[in-house]
Amino acid sequence: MSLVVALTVSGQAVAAEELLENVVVRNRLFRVQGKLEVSPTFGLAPVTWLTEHYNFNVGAGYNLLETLAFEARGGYALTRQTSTARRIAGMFLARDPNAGAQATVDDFSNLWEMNANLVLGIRWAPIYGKLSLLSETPVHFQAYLWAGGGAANFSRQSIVYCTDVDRGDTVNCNSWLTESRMAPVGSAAVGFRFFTHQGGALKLELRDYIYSDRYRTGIDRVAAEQGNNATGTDGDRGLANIVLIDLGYTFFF
Amino acid sequence: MSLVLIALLGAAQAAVPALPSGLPQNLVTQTEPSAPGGAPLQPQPATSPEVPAASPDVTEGPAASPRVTEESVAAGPVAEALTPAAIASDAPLAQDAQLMGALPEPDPDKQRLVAGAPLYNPNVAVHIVQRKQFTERGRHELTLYPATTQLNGKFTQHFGTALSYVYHLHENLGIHLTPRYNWSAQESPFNLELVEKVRQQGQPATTLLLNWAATGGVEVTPLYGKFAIYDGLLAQFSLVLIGGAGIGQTSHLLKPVTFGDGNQRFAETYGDTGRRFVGEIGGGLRVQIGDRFTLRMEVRDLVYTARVEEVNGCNLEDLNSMYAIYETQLEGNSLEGVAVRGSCNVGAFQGDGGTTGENRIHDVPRARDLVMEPSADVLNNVGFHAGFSIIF
Repeated sequence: MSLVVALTVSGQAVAAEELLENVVVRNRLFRVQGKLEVSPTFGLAPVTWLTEHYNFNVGAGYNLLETLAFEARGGYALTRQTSTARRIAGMFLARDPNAGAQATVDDFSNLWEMNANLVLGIRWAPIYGKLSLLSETPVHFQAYLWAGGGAANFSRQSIVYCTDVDRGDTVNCNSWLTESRMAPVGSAAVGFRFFTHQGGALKLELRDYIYSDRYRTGIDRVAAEQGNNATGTDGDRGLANIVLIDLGYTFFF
Repeated sequence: MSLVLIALLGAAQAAVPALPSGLPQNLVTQTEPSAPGGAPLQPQPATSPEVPAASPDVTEGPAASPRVTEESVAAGPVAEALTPAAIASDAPLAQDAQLMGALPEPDPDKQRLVAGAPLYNPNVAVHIVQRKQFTERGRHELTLYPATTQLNGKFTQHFGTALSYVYHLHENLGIHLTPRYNWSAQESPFNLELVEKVRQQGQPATTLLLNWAATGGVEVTPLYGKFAIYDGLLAQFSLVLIGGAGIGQTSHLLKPVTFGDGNQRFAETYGDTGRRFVGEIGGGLRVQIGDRFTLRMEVRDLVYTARVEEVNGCNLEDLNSMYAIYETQLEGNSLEGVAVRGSCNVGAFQGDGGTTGENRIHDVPRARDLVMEPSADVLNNVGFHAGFSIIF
């Protein structure tokens, strides 16, 4: 009899502890449902190949539920070609097609630079958690997935298609072929936002912009260097990605 | 009498949660709100019938343990106690004026105590994140990362499998040994595009491949937390930081894949470029599943120097000697009698090459080109590791 009572009491004590564990962690100190939010962010590419992007965005969103929100993000990316791209271009330009060195060439993939961009998407944040910062300060966070689409303005400067070459003591290209276009983009992200107070959260995410790549193949370099800017075959060449790490802050209203 | 003692024992068990022996007791003590001057807060006389006469002691300091009263523990069946509503109605109220004054929520109904903590105050520091349900100290952890992938593959791309053994010296400190094998170590699509379109490629040092590596070092878990998925599944996690050092085996592509008549594929060839010192830093998340399993997601950076001075153990002088013979017998496959150092593996440049479609002697000029103009770089092979662990 005593044993049964002891086990019952002990079991209830454990049950109470389990309840506390669950309830406490489930209580959300920071509730976002029904709130509007504005999020300035800055994004840069963790790995660069031919282009670099520094994306300044502002997002405006509405939290339909604690776990679901709609967001519009827009902004402008400062871009440039990497030193690797410039080195490739310089070395390739030095190979004179008039002397028989590689008279035709295909342009490179993933060379478009995204400038103005606007995407709309849905954010799903099924995870709400707390972590212990320096063993003292509980930090509340949400983990989320984001998916959406929109449009962006792209520009592109070829690194193999030069329409005005100066072949003196040193070889210089005075005019690389440049193009620009508006194109649809898809965007997906995974991220965290760490609440700092009821009115804001620090935001960290990995975001991918996906767009249709397009470039020329079979470029006649001799014709190109004589000023012909339409040699070769232009066309869609599959999908390309711009992956950025975004750091920002969200203000809730 | 014995029933009273047993009941008190049960209350004491509830008051001091089943902590692992390696955990300091102060991990579970509440620290907010605290009494001025650090003096223990004494329970006030009960004013509500719901509040037991023996109100829980709420003290500040490491020795204080949260208490659950006999009444709150023993009230009703377990199933009833598991519902928040049941707790809300049965739990004692925090009547202490000082306690109430320091809490952000003044409504007493929302300040019912469970284990000494206001149940519906989500920001109270009790039990939220400090208490770990499972001890780590003295335990072993074996992690399998079935597939690792390089994240920063500019000129190279690696895919592999890793195994990690961790011995947890303390709750937040362990030592690890992590061997890994890259079953796919090749040049990246970008580098192949360079070769194909403009006949350029990354410098030998930047295109060095890592075949395997073994590192050892320390692992610390400075942050610990919990999260709920859709307010349902509850999980604990910790932030893991990793540091270490070891060795790795490197190689370099000599001949890329080629295609013959009828689109017949001929395999690539690689040259051994030696073992390197490898440094390792990394970090990630470790999600606890029960007390014996974890899921891990980590990013680890393997740092190694990449100066290519030898291929298959042969330096430039050795390769020049072999090249002199190679030039005289382009159709042959023999390097008999070549004068090289003992460390030079001449055999790696001989034979019919099997599926490569050509005699291996044709790798001699390629290897010679690699070391003729030595390039140096410090490579960062940043990889994403996802795996699962067994703790024993």
